[in-house]
Amino acid sequence: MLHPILSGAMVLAAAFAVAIDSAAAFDPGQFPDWKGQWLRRGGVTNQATWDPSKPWGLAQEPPLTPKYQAIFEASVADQKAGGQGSDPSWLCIPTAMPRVMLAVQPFEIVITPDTTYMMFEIFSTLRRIFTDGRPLPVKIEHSYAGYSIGHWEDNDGDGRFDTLLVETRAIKGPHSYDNSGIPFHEDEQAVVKERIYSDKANPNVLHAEITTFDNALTRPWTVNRSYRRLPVKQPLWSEYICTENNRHVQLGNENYVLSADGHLMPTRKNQAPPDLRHFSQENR
Amino acid sequence: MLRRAPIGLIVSAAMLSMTSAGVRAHDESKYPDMRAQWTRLGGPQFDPDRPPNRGQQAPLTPEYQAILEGIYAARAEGSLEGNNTVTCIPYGMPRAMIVYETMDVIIQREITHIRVSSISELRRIYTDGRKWPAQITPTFMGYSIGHWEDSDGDGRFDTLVVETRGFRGPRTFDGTPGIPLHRDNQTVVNERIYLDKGNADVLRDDITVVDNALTRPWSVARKYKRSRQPYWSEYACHEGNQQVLLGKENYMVSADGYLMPVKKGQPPPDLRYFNRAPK
Repeated sequence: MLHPILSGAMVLAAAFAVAIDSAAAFDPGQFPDWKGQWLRRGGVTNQATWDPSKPWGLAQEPPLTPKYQAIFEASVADQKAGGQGSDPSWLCIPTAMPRVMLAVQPFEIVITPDTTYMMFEIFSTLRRIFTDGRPLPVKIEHSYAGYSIGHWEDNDGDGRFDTLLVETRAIKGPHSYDNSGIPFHEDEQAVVKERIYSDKANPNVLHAEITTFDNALTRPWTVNRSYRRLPVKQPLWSEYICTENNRHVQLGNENYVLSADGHLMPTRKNQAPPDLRHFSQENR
Repeated sequence: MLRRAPIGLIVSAAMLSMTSAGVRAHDESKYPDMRAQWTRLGGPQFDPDRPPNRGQQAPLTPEYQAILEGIYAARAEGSLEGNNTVTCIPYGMPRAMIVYETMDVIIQREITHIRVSSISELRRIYTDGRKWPAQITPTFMGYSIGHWEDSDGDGRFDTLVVETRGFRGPRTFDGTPGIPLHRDNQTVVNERIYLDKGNADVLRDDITVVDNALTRPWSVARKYKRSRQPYWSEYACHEGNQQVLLGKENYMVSADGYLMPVKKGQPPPDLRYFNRAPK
């Protein structure tokens, strides 16, 4: 039997611990240290391909249905001919999930008890991954970042969370996996599942196993991406302003580019100039 | 005099406290609860306590008052002059703190993030005790260093004091009319951000702007209200933006995809790079 004073001490200590726990509900020691600035690691080429283990373009061999494979092939062919293909980001439409996980520019991860934030420089995309135990809402407004619910796991049993599991739905289109234009189904029913965890041997490497379920695919498509933490104590964060230097102009279904002196230019041989019907005759 | 056992208890408790403090580098209880979603109280003019437009009485120098008068005149003709954000260029500071859409505040020991959803602007306010860098790459949001104060002495921080420098431009205080900041971008913005004493669902930001376009520092008091069950929308500025900037001329794209003038008598764009004459 415990001595009454010792017993009292334990009760008091326990009560104290509870008080501290409720006051300081967030224990960073429970979570992995993912602070800092992260950037993608290269794959077999330095290009930001969706599957980093395969080269760009058709060599990605996405498991697309015949209909979407045809769209993909047309996109690659159009890009080879100088067009933009089916990559919508050239008009400053944000790179949606899962493409934003290419991390072609740096990103930051902020872990709080209820939400993990991923703040991407590119398109200033913000992912909110809710880890507060909420169910998926019945109705979700589609967005490029999608709606993400996650939970933490302690896979090695050391008493600390090490892996963030995320499911993302309600992803808005149009979007593509990478700039070759690998398409998603236009029904916007894609589901993206991720396992995000630190490398066991190198805490400055982060892994993301990303599986996409989409009706444009014949089977789920899994890729393994990784990121490196930049070795700087006070990282420099830049502002990404897509429109600032974007020379592309879309008028109706026609694409033009702006010259250095601010005039519209054709993007292909013998392209007709824009229709100026809304300008008064005397001003033309 | 205390008996031995209670002293032991106190020591144990103190050690427990120290251990906990060591593990918990970020003690949430030390900081104000500014979580959830914040939306603007008051109008979208820079000083919410004064009427918009000329009612703002911005303390501009004669040079910048003349620039503002030029903006008024251009706007009267339908031009968008003075509102740089029509082509999705960020608002920048201090205009971002008008909070046109929603805002969230994420407090950590070393940094507070303020994310403003319109044009997806992110502020990083460093509270890690760093000094001003010798060189700052200019940005629309600037470089912010802050510190926490316990102004009521209750042992908890309640006020985030921020100074922001290192800007690029062009920036304006507001959208209508587009009160200009100086083109030298030497603006300094000082803020005190705190929860309202009487209502923890109201956030206050006392903002003072020092700028060479002003004859004196301009102080305004902005307020935001908290939504505890937020729905976060995404703001993709360029999506559906009908504004087109060609050289220095603004045009619009009509619903049927044709260029349109934005002001009376505006000439069409110069199509010198096309082989044949426009229709």
